[in-house]
Amino acid sequence: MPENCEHWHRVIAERALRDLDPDTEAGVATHLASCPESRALAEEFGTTAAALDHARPDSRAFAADPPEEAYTPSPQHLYNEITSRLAALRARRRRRSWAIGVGAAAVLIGVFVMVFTTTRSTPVAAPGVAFTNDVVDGVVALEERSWGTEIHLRAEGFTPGQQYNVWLERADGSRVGAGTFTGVTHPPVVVTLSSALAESHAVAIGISQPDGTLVMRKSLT
Amino acid sequence: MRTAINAYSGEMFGFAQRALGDRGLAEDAVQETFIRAWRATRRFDPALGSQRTWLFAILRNVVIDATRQRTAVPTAAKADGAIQDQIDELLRSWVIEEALRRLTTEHRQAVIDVAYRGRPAADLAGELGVPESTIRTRLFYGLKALRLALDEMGWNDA
Repeated sequence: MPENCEHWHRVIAERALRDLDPDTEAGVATHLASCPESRALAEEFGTTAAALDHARPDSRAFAADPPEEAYTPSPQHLYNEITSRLAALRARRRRRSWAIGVGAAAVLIGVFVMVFTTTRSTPVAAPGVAFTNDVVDGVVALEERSWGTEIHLRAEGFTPGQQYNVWLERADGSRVGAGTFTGVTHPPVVVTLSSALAESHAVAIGISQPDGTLVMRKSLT
Repeated sequence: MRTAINAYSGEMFGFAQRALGDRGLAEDAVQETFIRAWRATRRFDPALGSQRTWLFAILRNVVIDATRQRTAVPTAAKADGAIQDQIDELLRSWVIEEALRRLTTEHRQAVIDVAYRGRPAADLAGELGVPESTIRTRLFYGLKALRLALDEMGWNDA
């Protein structure tokens, strides 16, 4: 460090903030040329002084005794406000989660009901096949399902209280049961029955009594 | 969070009030800042900057949002940029003021008189009845302390 360097450091501080008179400026320049440490200091002070340009002319910092910013909301008040807002946000999030859950459940139920009703209670959409003989008179419609065939039967002429078996018949003459119903006098029997046999494999549908007495047989082909 | 509120809320409120010109909006902005900070706590990395710097970065965005909402003119991209520039400049001036406020009274007064009023150290020395070297020493340590304060507040010279 050159002699009297500390003196020049103080001058450099003033030089960073205002223009010096030519003689002092020349002295600083001579010193800076020979002192790397002072050059580094001049650079540091230069950037710090440049930052001061960003202050506004009406800055409170320019007052002889700058007052603390008048501040009404105390930190405790702010803390209380913030925590209550956070609590409200959490509650809203919980409500939203509930609403989403309930909504999702409703959608699932709706889908289930739609699928169920479509599967279970669709009116006879397929063209019905009418049948009649001396005993019974009615119409039957078959709907192919992934699990087999759904059979919609509407008929009358059955003996009240008598059990009847419904079946589908394969091409080889074997029968696959489709369920039972009990005869009534009035109104017509309207039942939906199920058979594991695919509709495409069924060549006929029939109704018989438990003892094998044939009530009716209707070809589907 | 309570510690951060105690440490920074006053300064943050001051800046928000300066930027928004309304105490209610300013308080709301400070609250919103802490709420956003709380929700983004995991994103805070002390290695990237101080908690104060992080909070002021959030507050800056909150203030920009609030200013946009108050702007009657449709917020075209250009207007958005202007708002951001305005808030950024306001924030820089606020940081400088806050850094100056952290200096001792003697250091601050010396820096302000010389830097903003252009008064030579010799004049101040005569007025205060102290040696000229004393005023220059105050300037020296004032600038050192100012740099330290600016660094602590995340000041960027660029």
